[in-house]
Amino acid sequence: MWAAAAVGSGIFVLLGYFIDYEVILTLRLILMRWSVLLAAVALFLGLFNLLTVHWSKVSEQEKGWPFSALLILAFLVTLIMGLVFGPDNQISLLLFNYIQLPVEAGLMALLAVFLAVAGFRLVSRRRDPFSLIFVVVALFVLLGTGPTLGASDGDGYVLLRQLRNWIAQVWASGGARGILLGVALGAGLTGLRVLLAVDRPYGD
Amino acid sequence: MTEFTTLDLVGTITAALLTVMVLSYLLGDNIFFRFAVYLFIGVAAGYAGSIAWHNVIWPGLIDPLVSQELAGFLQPSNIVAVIVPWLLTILLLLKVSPATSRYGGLPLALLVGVGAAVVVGGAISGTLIPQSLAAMGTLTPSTLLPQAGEELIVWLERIISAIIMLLATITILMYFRFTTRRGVTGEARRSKLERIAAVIGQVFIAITFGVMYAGALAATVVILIERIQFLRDVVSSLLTG
Repeated sequence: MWAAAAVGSGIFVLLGYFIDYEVILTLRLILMRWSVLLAAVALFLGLFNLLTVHWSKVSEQEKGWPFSALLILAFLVTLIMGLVFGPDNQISLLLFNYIQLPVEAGLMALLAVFLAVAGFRLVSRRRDPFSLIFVVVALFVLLGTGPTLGASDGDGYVLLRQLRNWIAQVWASGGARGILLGVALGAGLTGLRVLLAVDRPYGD
Repeated sequence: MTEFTTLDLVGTITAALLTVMVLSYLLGDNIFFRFAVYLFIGVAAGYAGSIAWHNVIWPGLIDPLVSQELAGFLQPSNIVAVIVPWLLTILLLLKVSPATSRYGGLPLALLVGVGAAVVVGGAISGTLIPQSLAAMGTLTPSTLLPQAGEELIVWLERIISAIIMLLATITILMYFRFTTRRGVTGEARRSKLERIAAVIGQVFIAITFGVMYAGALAATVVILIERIQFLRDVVSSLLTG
């Protein structure tokens, strides 16, 4: 029965992409609205789960429970402020600007170091022709992004800069198109398996 | 120099401390990093919840319920807009308890079915068709024939670039081929031509990932520099009053 609901709703939504027929478009809109509402309710169920997991850590005083207590406090304060005054109010924006934003930016900054370390590890641990091509291209593109190669006027520099742009705009663009098409084919096939009820992640 | 209100001053110092706490992970996992990350998860989860409440749940579920007269619920449009979403929501909430979770299958199936259709539709109309058209466009006569007054070297470069782009796309797709037959030991069986194309495809993947890696590294280095500059500005602002 659940498979029939998934297949039926999925087919009407999919048809709405390709057939301009009012009944199908209306049905698709209704199904999409219900799904957005259900996704929001599912988000709240996820938040409730987060709360219960950390609450049990605090109540049983497991290792690292003070961090769980901090998470619960931050979660409840932000949620209550957001629910009462709206997500655009001054306090919610302060929490967003002075806590969420700097931590996100800090994590992204950390990524620079770990990406560089991962590049060095690749060179030292996996020495095959593809890794070599990857590292050489990455170094060449990085050098071309920097000021020495990127802004100098000598003939050699201009040639290297043009070569760098050619690799990035032609070789990598063609490759990115192939990867995008491959990913879209894979995603489409996975979706079709659900629509044909071959995969049933919602249970039987 | 930037003028700080008290609230801005406290917020900026908090932001600077949190930045230092996150960057302290470079020395290894420590309590300061954990403090910053748990705080971040709590605030991000609360903020996401409040946005979902105000933008989706209140206007879609609560407001239609409280703004209707009792008789109005029996109208067909309100059954679709109010009664069915509430029934689906209640069924989904039954998933919380193991005893009642089997009744929550219907909304989950609806969510999965619509999600899968959006993924398939998005993949076809958003990627497969436009990218295939763009790949085909590299071989149209208007692209390949020499333009009036165009130098031979420029025309040749254009032709070679178009061939390389097409070769990259095709060989990567051949490397990604999902339906190869398998041999007795489970390995994919490919013809000699397919094996050569797959190797060329891997070379193009390595080049593409190399360019993407360089772009990601350059972008994150810029963010790292911005964070260090922010810390320097905060310290200098505090020291100079």
